[in-house]
Amino acid sequence: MLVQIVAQGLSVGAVLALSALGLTVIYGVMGVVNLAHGEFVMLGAYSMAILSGPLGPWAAIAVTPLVVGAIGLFVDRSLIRWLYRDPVKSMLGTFGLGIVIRQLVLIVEGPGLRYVDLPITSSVAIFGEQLPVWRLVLIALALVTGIAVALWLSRSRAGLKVRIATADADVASALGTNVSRVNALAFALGTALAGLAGALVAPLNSVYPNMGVTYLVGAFLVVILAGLGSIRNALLWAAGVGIVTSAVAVPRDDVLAQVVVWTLALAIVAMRRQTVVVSRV
Amino acid sequence: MSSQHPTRRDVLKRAGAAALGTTAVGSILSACGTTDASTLSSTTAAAGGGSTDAIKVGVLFSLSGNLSIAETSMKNATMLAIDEINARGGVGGRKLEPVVEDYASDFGVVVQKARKLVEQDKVAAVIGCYASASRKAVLPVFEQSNNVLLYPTFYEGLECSTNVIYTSLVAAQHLTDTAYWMVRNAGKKIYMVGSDYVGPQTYNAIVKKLVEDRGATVIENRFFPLDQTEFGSALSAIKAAKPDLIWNTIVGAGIPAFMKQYQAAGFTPETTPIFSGICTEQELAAVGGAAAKGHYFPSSYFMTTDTPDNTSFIKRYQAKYGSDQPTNMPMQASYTSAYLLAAAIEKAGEATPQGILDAFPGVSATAPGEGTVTVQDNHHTTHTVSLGRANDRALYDVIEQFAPREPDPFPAGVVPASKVPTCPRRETT
Repeated sequence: MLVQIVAQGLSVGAVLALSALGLTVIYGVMGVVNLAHGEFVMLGAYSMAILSGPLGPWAAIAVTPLVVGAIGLFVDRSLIRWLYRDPVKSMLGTFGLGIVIRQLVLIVEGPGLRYVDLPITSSVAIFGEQLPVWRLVLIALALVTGIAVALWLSRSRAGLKVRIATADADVASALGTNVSRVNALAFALGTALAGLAGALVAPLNSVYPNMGVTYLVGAFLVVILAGLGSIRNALLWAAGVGIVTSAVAVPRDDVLAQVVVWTLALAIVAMRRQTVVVSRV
Repeated sequence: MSSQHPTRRDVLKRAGAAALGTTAVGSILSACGTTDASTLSSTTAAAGGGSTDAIKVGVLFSLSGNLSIAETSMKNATMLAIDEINARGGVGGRKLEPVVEDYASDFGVVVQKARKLVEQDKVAAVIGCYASASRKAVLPVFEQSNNVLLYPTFYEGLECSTNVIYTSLVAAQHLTDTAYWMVRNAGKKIYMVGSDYVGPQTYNAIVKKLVEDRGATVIENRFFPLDQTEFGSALSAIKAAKPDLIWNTIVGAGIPAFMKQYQAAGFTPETTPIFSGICTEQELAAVGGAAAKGHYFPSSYFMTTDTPDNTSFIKRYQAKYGSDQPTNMPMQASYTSAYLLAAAIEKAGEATPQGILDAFPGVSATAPGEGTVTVQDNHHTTHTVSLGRANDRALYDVIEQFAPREPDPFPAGVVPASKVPTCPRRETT
């Protein structure tokens, strides 16, 4: 039972982490609270549903972040750049953007549920418990992605520019950093991460225009607990939320699990006595 | 003809028809000589008998919004039947004139649209609604105006309105033989899952009673929020409980999520099959053949049924709406509903709501791929249920056909004997 709870918790946490990572990067760098984040997860799932047939599942998973990231780049240049560093404007703007994306997908793809076959259906024994391989893949990819993004930000030259632009956009600009380009890059990265999350959950789920809302809510829960902008905290809190959820849901039920998780989250946030916005990157 | 304000010509024609009629209303009208137009149009529409005018039939489904996939196909099936009835000369020499309304998956809009059909269009009856919430919402409209709703999909029961004819399956009728079959063939340790609202809870309560009567044990009866698509925790619990089979009434986007995560968790239908209460070919298509194969669903209609009348039904439907269009149980019930309505009007000899309601008990029609179905005194319909097993094309193959079963909207053991009403009854006051 304990192994099941931890494994299940980490796999719930992996999905939460993947969707929270993008949200946190976008806020951390450009101060935009992206309420259309769930829609980018949905676009990733549709990309997976469309591409996994012709390309095969693994190539589709690799290509999907590029596809969704490209859409993100376009959206940044056409809309988001007018909303930088104004959380209220950005919330309104991206809320509207989410509606537009959902309706466009509804018009193009129709309201029907799509499905993606599981790339791996086998399970392996770990500590005497049979665990589904696809869930383990999900956990591993979330961890690898989180670490890669954190390393890129802290070690690479591009990451350095991102951090400079985040710390002080005006100074960075004066020192020759193209802040506008850095922001576009960050938004593309954030949406690409959402797309990856969508591609990975699609085989465990069905794909439909309104699917994104669930992921936005989950991602926000993690980001509120971890503080916007912190990647390491996002990973840790995602795992924590996942494990608490499954610790209640496995022996009892999912409704109670939601009650427990949100009550704990409220208590933690209230005890901290500070705003949602803790630190940036 | 569908306008609220009849033209002078309409009024004269109807007044003439009514005056010629032998009804009491007709003789009063001719005695009065002149009447103002609004009273005239409403009385004549209610009288209707002996007229050669078209009979207006409301067709009320969601053609937009999240219920539109299922309901658009039900509207299409209804229209196919109406066209066929008109092509063979209508009912008693009168054509059926469909008045189609889209309630946009909104249970507030459905009330407005039902009112419009009943009060403005003055339809003789309405075929429509899908989710139980939509039927519950329009019940007062039909009972207060004493009109007729033909409700063409399977539902949980616990209702028998004086003004509704339930043309598809009611839960106990739908599930009884399957509950016995699964205990006999798949095992006695049963794990139940479902979405957390009245339909699935009633389904599960009925099945729990049925299987326990046959000596089976229900290990757990677990419900999920309607929008839940993550079932890993439940699957861990199921794995630990080691049931022989799963009884499932999860609905909507949860169905594909549950079945696919079930497959991912390493369950196979050979060792632990899923028996679903609410999973037609429509829902199964979103699961995909790989994850759906081997699981069960009972129904009064399957697309794969290889009988000449079903082959012909599918051919006619696809000729009208596209060769890739699937068929399923709610569609077949919608199609059959139009034929049941035609038969009731024929039997009544008039197209008034009260005449139709009085005529309905005992009325039969041929349901494609199923056989004869007959409306009973309790306003529900006899049906022949078969058990289907999903194949790798996400369609069901019939593996067993049960004997025809009478509808019982208030099954004993689930509803206390003292609470079983005399059917039909007024559901709203």
